[in-house]
Amino acid sequence: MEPTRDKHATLVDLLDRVLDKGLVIDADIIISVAGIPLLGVNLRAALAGMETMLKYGIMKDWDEATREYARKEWKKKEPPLRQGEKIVLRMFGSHWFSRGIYRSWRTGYFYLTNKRLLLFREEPTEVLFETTYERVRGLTIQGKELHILLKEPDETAILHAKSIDELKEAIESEMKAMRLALENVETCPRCGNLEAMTSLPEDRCPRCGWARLLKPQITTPVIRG
Amino acid sequence: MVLNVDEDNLKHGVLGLVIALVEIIRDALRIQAFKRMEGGSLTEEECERLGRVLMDFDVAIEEIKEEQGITESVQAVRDGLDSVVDNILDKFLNPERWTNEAEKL
Repeated sequence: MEPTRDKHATLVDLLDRVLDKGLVIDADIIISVAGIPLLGVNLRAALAGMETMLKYGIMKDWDEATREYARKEWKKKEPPLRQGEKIVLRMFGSHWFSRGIYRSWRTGYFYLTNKRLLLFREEPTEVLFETTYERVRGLTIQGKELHILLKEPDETAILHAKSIDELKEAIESEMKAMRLALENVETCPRCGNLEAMTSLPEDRCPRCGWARLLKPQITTPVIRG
Repeated sequence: MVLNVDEDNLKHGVLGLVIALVEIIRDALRIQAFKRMEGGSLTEEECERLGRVLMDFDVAIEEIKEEQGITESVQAVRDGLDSVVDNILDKFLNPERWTNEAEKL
């Protein structure tokens, strides 16, 4: 019975072994045409994974200096968090910003913490959107957007994210953990007005008067704290 | 030999090759990253930052492949390269087997 190799080697395995061991090249090369040297190369190179380099004591100071620099620079790129605040979820997304004549989607990374929802942009560094969970009255998904009805001050936030269902569920789960109530909210298809269902006196949109058609909705759970 | 190069297979060919190389470099970097994290020379904050950026990079590459529809092309390039590596290593490790097979022909 002959021994067989059942595991096939891949290019990445090869690279990994080479980088792990380390590679040293010490070469003097002449490239010639018709016996006449035309190009000369003197090549000295050492290539290895950083762990291997450090093991041989090469580049130790440079490694520490680089990481020190990175630590200082990257500090600026994290959103400022409060005492005891921890990041629960981080997701790429954007917020519909409209002030005066300026209207556009501003992109960044959503940071969902145990206290707030933030949209943070790294370059230039700015918090594009922020709300505590106490301000959230209700959430609804409209097409590919997440609409949030906020109070104190009253406003509607329109967000888009890589996975809005996941974002919505994460917000609901944080609010549930904090025992905050969520109302059923709905967006008027005609004028885009977001309203809480409980505050409507009749079945009409308060802004444009469009009569709501009674149909079964996928609604946010009403949680009484 | 007739080579038909049209817009579509050029995209699949060139872009597929580029993304395959990017993925290979990414995989090598990821393995080195794990080695450093396990080696204990990095702080917790550095480990977290490294993991997060590598993950973001993964997501970005997957999105590019999906948007351009080149997932199979990329896999084909990688499988091709892997089988070349496997063949060469096999020749080095089992030289007798190869000379035997060559003699049979």
